[in-house]
Amino acid sequence: MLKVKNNSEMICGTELISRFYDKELNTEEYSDIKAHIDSCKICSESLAEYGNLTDELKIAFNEAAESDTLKIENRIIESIRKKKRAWWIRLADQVFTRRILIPAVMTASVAIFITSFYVKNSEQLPGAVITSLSSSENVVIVQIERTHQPIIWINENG
Amino acid sequence: MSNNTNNADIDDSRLVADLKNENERAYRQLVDKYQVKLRNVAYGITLDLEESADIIQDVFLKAYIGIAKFKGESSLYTWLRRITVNESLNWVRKWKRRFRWQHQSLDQEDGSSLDIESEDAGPESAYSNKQVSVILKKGLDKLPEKARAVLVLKEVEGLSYEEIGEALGINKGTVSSRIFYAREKLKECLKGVESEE
Amino acid sequence: MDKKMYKFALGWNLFLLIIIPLLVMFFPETGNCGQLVRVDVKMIYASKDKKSIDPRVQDLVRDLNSEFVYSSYELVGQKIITLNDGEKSAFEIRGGRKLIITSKGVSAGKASLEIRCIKEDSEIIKTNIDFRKNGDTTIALPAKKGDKLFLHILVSF
Repeated sequence: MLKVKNNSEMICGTELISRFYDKELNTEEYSDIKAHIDSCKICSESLAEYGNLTDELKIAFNEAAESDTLKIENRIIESIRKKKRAWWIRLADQVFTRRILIPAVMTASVAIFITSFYVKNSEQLPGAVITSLSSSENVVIVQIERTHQPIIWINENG
Repeated sequence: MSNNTNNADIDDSRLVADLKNENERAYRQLVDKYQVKLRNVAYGITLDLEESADIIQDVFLKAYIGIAKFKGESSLYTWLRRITVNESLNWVRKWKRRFRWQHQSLDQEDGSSLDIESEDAGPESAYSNKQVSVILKKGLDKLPEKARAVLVLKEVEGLSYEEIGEALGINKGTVSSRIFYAREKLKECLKGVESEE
Repeated sequence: MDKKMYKFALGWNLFLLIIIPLLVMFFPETGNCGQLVRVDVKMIYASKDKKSIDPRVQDLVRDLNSEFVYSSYELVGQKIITLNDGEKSAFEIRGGRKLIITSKGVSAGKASLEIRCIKEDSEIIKTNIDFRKNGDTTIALPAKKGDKLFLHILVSF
């Protein structure tokens, strides 16, 4: 914050008057400036002009005020409705959030992993198949009942 | 003031809940409540009536899209206004040259100008008022949009320098100097009117 | 950009989530996921004299006992070998015999092995066996006076 002396040159026609008008000075500065303004014609005129400007601006900017309010409201609601209809966007938005997607993918992977094991194990295919055999001895082939494991039983001659 | 704020807060939080549920009536309520104020802000920056309406449409649409993430750290209106200010500034920057060109081409030889802006559909009050308005708008148009934005937020919305700084991402000192600059420039414009009368 | 991309990405992801489990379930493992074959040969000596079951082969013995009537089983040797396509390995087993295992390759989810047992230059047995993953077989060789030497062969790849 600028230090304020009661030096007219430092105050007249400066930003300080603008700040004073907007009440953006601290207590000390405020009283100093006020004291100056009360005794300075230029500055009090400035202040009045600011007030005038505020009134004019309010009029100028309020032009947007009442025109076409309902029409615009309807346009807005219509555009929101159009957004709503894009359900797949909303669904995708929800699905692709990290909080849902990552656990979902993990769960799916685990499920696939487990399922594949289970499926494979439940296949009752033989673990080993003898495709050819030749021996100089007596051979008997037996199968374990539980696991269907082939046993090659060799009897020694003699 | 605290009483008002409390009521506003209660209303707001209920409204926000309804908005998050995509309740259409809630959206109508929202638009009803804030449309005019926001359009004024947009108009103050863009100085274009039609464009302000378009911008506000976008603002409310963005509100619809973003309401899910709205945490209520600021008030609903503050949030909407911030979006409005940003959209308006973006528009001005985008069409700055074209905008200026449109207005300059309407300058007539005697210094007055046919302002296509003044589609004042409303009843024409005192002729001098209209003149002032026209001159003022010409002056506003000459201002850089950044100065216009702070002026709008100060004079129309009544925000403090600090709030303005937050809304625009600038510090208080910059806010103060821009407002001062804008006021001085506009004062000159208005002085011009007086001398003609 | 948003609408089209969302639709595409969502559709694609759903497609994958459905197709992948189906593929895994219905298509057996094809292709050669590495032609390295791991053969685990356990030599189990079975006899009717004693009454003891080596805990290390308890599981295997349970199966064998369902068919045979030995009272004692002992793990007397183990050999684990890894074979590439066409590679073979030979090692000695009890009773002056030699076991030669050759990998004939892996295809269609099965490892093909040629197993030969030789004693003093004469071939006792030669057999070709197709193993599925973790498939096993047992060769029962004669041992002295009524005992038996079981060669449990477990194949993984």
